[in-house]
Amino acid sequence: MDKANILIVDDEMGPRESLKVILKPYFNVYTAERGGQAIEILRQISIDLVTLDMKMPGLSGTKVLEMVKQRDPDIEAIIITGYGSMDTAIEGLRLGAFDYIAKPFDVNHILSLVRRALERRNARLKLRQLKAEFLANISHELRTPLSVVIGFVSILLDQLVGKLSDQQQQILEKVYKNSEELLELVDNVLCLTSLNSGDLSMAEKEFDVEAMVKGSVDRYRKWLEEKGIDLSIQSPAAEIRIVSDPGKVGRIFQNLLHNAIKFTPGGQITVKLHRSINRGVVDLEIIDTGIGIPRDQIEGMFQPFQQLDGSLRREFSGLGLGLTVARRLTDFLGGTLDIRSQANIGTHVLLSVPDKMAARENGAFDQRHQITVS
Amino acid sequence: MTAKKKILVVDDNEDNREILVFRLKQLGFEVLVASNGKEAIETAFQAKPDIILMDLRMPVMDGWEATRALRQTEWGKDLPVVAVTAHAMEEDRRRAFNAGCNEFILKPVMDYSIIHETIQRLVG
Repeated sequence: MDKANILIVDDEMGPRESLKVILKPYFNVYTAERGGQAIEILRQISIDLVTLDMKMPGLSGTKVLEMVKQRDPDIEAIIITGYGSMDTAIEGLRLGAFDYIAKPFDVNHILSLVRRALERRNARLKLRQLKAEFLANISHELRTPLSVVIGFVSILLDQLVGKLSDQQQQILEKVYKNSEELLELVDNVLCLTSLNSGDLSMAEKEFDVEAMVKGSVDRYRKWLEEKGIDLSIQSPAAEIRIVSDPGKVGRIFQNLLHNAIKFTPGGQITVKLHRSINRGVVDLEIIDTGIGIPRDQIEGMFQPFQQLDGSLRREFSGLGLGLTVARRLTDFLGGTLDIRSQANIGTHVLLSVPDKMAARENGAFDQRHQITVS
Repeated sequence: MTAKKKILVVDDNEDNREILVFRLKQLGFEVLVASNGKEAIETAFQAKPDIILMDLRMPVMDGWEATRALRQTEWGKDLPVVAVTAHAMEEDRRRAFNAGCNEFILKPVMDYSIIHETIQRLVG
């Protein structure tokens, strides 16, 4: 097993070097004299644990701890306090430090703390990996038979195995639609589970937003025809390619589109795509002429399992999971989701997804980490 | 008249194979099948398909391993491989690309025009 990487942050050479001597035989040790330097090291090296002197000139220990945890909450921190500063210790623990130790410290004590902190980190990472594998298995088990049902029904519906009577067509369409609903439900439940257990990671891939939108729309082609909904996509002539997580953006968009179709008995849905260079985002709008959502219920829609008021529940069956997942995933991506609606007139959804390429080009930091380093 | 393009479909699930064979034949391809990674390599070596649609999770030898093995060979290193799988997890996507897959498609395939387009793009 590889040696853990430890970063010692202390402005005083004495304590810094003596701690380095203590830890060096067992770990890979890096040092920093200031908070700013520490953050820079974190950016370049994968650090497992930080020992943090809380009293430093420049960025305070508390601020540095905040920044470390913001960068990667899995990095363990042991804070080193001066004599009689319980407040700093408490603040540090509150921010997620593993423990604190006062100067001058006992060699064995600090070694023990470091070891226990690393053990905790390993256990947590291992658990997360097991959960991810479990979810992957379940996902596969659930999706496989569903995909078979959808696959064969689709072949029948495309009349590739003989012509269908009207009645046969109608029945098969119901089978298809319900299978699709089930698949969406499975995907959303799995997504929410991942979000809740903190197992999600963000992919960074360049992709064509319009292609993704068209793919989603295509999935609902039959449903749209059935409901007599006219869907149009308005996008600029130039291709919109962004760097983000295509899987997640696709899921958010699909959930929003699904809702738009579900709550629009007939009429129009317009999808608009627009890149905002200033804000470094891509705006995806879905505007429908459906039954709308009363304003006081819009926020409520973001809670799982809530769907308008009871009277509509029977007509529009299904869990209100789609919107919850959409909102949670949007937050995860650092985007925004804005919903405006008027009962019986329609709903206007605006999803803004940050373009990581734009962020890179502007020399800005990773969207999640709004840190300025002194 | 141009020869039909040859596609090798690899999936341990018989139903999935049947669906893909059906659809791909409709699209005008000549379709071969294999039920695991090992069979895939053997069949690919003999029949030299133009492209492989590879399921990832399979017994005996999985799709990741098969693709990696393929990439080690002279005859298989440039053979287009499209990972087709029910797996929705990030990690599997990454693994697929690291193993040498050219593309990744999620099952269930709803839109065969995407598969058709992907295949045409990779095969030319």
